[in-house]
Amino acid sequence: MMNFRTIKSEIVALLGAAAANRYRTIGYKSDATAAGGVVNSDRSVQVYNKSGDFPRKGGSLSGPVMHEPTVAIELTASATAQGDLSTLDNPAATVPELTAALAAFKDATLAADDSLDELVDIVYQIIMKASNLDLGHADPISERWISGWTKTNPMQQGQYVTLIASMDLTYKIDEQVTGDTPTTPTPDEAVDTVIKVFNDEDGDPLDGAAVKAGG
Amino acid sequence: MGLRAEIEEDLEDFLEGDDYGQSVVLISPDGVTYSDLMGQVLYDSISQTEDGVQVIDHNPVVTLRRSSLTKIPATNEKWSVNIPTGPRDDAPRETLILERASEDGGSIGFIRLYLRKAEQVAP
Repeated sequence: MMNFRTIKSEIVALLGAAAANRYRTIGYKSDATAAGGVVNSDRSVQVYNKSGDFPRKGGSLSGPVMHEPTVAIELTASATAQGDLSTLDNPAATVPELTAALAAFKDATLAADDSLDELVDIVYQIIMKASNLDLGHADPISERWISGWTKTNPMQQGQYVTLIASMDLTYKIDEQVTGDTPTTPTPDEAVDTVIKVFNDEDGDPLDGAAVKAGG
Repeated sequence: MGLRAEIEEDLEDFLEGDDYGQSVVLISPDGVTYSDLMGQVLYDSISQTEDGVQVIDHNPVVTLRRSSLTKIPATNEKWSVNIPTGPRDDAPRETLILERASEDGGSIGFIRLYLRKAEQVAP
């Protein structure tokens, strides 16, 4: 298996281990999101391989090949309006109390924006922490960087406001080219590497070659 | 009577009658409670984001007859809207917040309110 597949799973494990109930980590890009399922600490972090580059001079004829995979880290947060509901539901509340409670309500869009900014902060700090230089991989990763992040417009669907941010994480790793069905050599097995040529290009036997059939 | 005026009269049956109407309580930004309103309350939703991801959620929408309102919710105003959470009269009720612009069906006399879930935060 190529390293980029293993490392994606290791990034998922790294983020999952550091979540501390602040978000949920998913190791693929899901095709549907329930806005009510990513509210508050249920914010989601989706990790999936997005693309990869193989620099032309990044490998030798038979040795390892340099690979620069880019992993997309997609962050989703939803929020409700936040305020003093108990006053609004209290039949004995006075007009000034109702006015003050409504005026003090925090917009769901602002709450979702704050929540997503906090999640970007958390995930960036986990990935770029010096002790996570190898992204949880056993072999060293020569370089890793987050080239940037972007945020979508607030999505006003349903009774929540949902926001999505996407980060691109790129790293460098050597990949071994083993073929589609790798052959594992048996220890101490002798392999004959002599190329046996018996005839020349006209089909005549070469000097010293084996006796022709029937000869 | 013009056709649109006839439609506006029909809203009394469509939105406020026994078939579709449910009790709705509004509190305006100046603290006035309107508790004798009837309107159509719907909840279902599935929508598509700009990058093609489906977002699924309840989408509480209340449609009211404008001529039954003393005050019309305006854009950028925050209102409290209390509605039943199911189609039955005895369904539990929930208070939601109107903070989005409403759809103004002024041509035939209705207003559609898109509501947001509210979370209790200590004052």
